[in-house]
Formats: sequence, structure tokens, C-alpha cells
Amino acid sequence: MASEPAARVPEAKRIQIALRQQIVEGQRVPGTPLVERSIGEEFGVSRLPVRQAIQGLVAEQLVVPGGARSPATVRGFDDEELDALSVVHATLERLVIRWAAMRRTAEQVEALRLIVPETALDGAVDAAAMRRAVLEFRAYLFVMADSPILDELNQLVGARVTQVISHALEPAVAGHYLEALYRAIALGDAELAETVLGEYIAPGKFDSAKRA
Amino acid sequence: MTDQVRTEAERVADALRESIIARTRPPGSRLIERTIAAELGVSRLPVRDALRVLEREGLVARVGRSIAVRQLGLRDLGELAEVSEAFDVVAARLAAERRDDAEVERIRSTFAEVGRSIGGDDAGATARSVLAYRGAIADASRNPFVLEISTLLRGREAGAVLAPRLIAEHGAAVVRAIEARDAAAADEGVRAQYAAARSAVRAEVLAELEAKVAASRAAGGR
Repeated sequence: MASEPAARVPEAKRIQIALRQQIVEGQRVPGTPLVERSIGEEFGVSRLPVRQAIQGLVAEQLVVPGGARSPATVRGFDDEELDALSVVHATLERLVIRWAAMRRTAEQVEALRLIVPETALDGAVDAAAMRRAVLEFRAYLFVMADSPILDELNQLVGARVTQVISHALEPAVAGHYLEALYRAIALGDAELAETVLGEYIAPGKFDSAKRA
Repeated sequence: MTDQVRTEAERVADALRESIIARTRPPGSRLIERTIAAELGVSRLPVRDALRVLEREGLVARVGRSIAVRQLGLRDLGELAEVSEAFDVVAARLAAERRDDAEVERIRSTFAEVGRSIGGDDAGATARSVLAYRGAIADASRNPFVLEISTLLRGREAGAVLAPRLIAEHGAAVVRAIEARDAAAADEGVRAQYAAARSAVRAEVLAELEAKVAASRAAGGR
């Protein structure tokens, strides 16, 4: 394993990034097997970089390693881990939304508005599009907050947090929350932003991700 | 890397971390491999590894070709204070809800050590005891994500926001609250620590302003 051709490394990285995105955005749900051969075919590469990508995802705690004859699978969440994540998630989001509201520029407010999808009141929404919007909105809050320390903390726990957010997402109402959050941030009202966020991620929010 | 080398690098990292937090190596001071190796009586390799660790932790940064103790700007300090307060509150609340007797004992004894070490003149011992005390609370939270974040923040904050003296003065209420499983009181105790730190900074800025204005007026520059 020690002497792989150097050209393999970027390929493995590219696949790791693509798989990570699919996992955190919920396209590959917990429990889904990651079969090296079929993923290799999908990306048009050999099995080796796929294996390396999967090892990277195991290190990120997004994937459970496979056994001798079974493939690796997308990691799920046990209840204890969900509780542990939800308290960290709440604290991190509160800080980022506060600073986003306090530091926003006019251009950023405009860019944020474009991320918020129109949501019909009859509950008919494209769940995948809504999931992408929620994650894009969240990522943009970190840009607006412009805080190296928050970026760093988000790097520590962001992948798992994002995975849970998309898993627990309620597509029918998420757009309304995004709109209210957008308005609070555009107004520069950090307190309102925190109140809306508090309702959005009320305690037990992640409970819908818990196994019945 | 053999185990022995790794242990040595860890030992060097611990020593450097302490001296940075204790301010015996103040912000901006350069860290020279050769000098440190000679000081600690080790080869340069473990020193290099240790510096890499500290760079990851954000305690030191590259300045041109050399490495120096990181200097936090005022904006960084303000942010760190807010972020550290938020996660310290979470850690203390969880610790109060979940702690077992052994954890309480560890929190109590590490806190006592903070008070004792402040009386002495070993700044390294004070830095060590503060890290141990805050680590004990984070451990008792039993939340791996809180622990991970709080470890990063402790290194980053390095006493710049919460002076050991403030922890010694206000920590007793936090320790008592955790012991009494009173999450609300633990929350309040942590916030009081940070409020005291903010008051101290405000008082310093205002006192300096007053002194400078008085000096300039006395010099006749009206």
C-alpha cells in the first residue's frame, strides 16, 4: 500500500469529495452499501482509488468499514450520537447565524435571497432541491459570518452535522424557515434570527432521524 | 515513526504548549528548532514534529520562514470569547447532568490545583492546572463532539480570554453546580466567568483612555 503511484491520489480525493457530498446531502442514505466495483464503474476509474476514497470517508466517520466479504456502508446515527450532535449543532448554528446577521454586506444579502426557494403553501416541494437549498444556505451563512474559528469548528463536525440536517429535513416547511431566517439576517436582527433558528432546530428536531 | 519518538514529540509539544499558555513564550516570539532542542535536551526531529502539532492546534503560525507564537488580533479575541463561552456553557451544563462521582472528584481536585498554583510562581504549573480543570469538565460532558471542539478551543484560547485568576475566583460556583447536578447554575457560573473577563477588558480600555487623555492634556495639546 505504501508505494501507490502519485497520480492515484488526486483521483481518490475527487471520488472522496463526490461520495461525501452524496452522503451528507442524503442521496446515499445510512446503510447503503458502497460497492467498490460499481462505484468505480460509475466514476470510470479502477477499484483502487475508490478503496482509498472509502478509507478516507471511514476516517471522517461517515462510512462503516466493510468486512472480508461485505462492502462498506454509509454510517447511520444511533440515538446517543444524535443527541450529542444536536447540542453541538444548536450551539454552532446560533453563533454563525448571529454573526451572519451582524456582518452581512448588501451583496451577500442579495446572494442569500437567491438561495431561498419559493415554497408553495400546499406542501408540494421538490425534496432534493429543498435539501440542496438548505445546505447551500447554511454554507453561505459561514461565508457571511466570516469567522476563521467558526469555519474551523465546522470542519471538525460539519460533515456529520450536515448529514443529520439533510436526514431530519422536513421539505414541506424548511423553505418557510429559510425565508424567515433570510428576512432576519437582511434586517440585521440577530435576535430574531436566533429566535427563528431556535424554532427550526427546537430540541428533539433530530428525533425524526432516530430509528423508530 | 517509532513509539519512542512520538512520545518525545508529545512531551516537547506539552512543554511548549504550557510555556505559550503561561506567557513565558509571549505572542509573537519566535520558536527556533535548534534552540528548543538544546533547551529540552532532545534532537531536532521531535521538536519539528511538536511544532507541527502546535501549528495544527493554532497556537503557533508560520511567519515567513520561521515559526512564531500566534498573535491573536482583537477581532480574533472577541470571537474566541464568544465561541468559548458558548461551548463552555454547553460542556458545564452537560457535565452537571451526567457526571459521576469520579468525574466530580477530578473536577474538584483539578480546580483546587488551579487555586494552589496561582499562589506559586510557576506559570507553567498554572497553565497545566487550568488545562486539566477545563479538560475534566469537558470529559464529564460525555459528548465526543463537545470534547473535540472544547479541546480545540482551549488550545486556541490559551488563557487570552479567561485569565487563570478569573477561573480561580469564579470557578467554585461552577464546580458546586456540577456537583449538585444543577445545570442552570453551572450555565450561570460559566457566564459569570466570561462576564468578569469582559468587564476586565472594558475597564482596561477605559483606564488606558483616561490616562492617555490626561497625559496629552497635561502636555498642553488642547
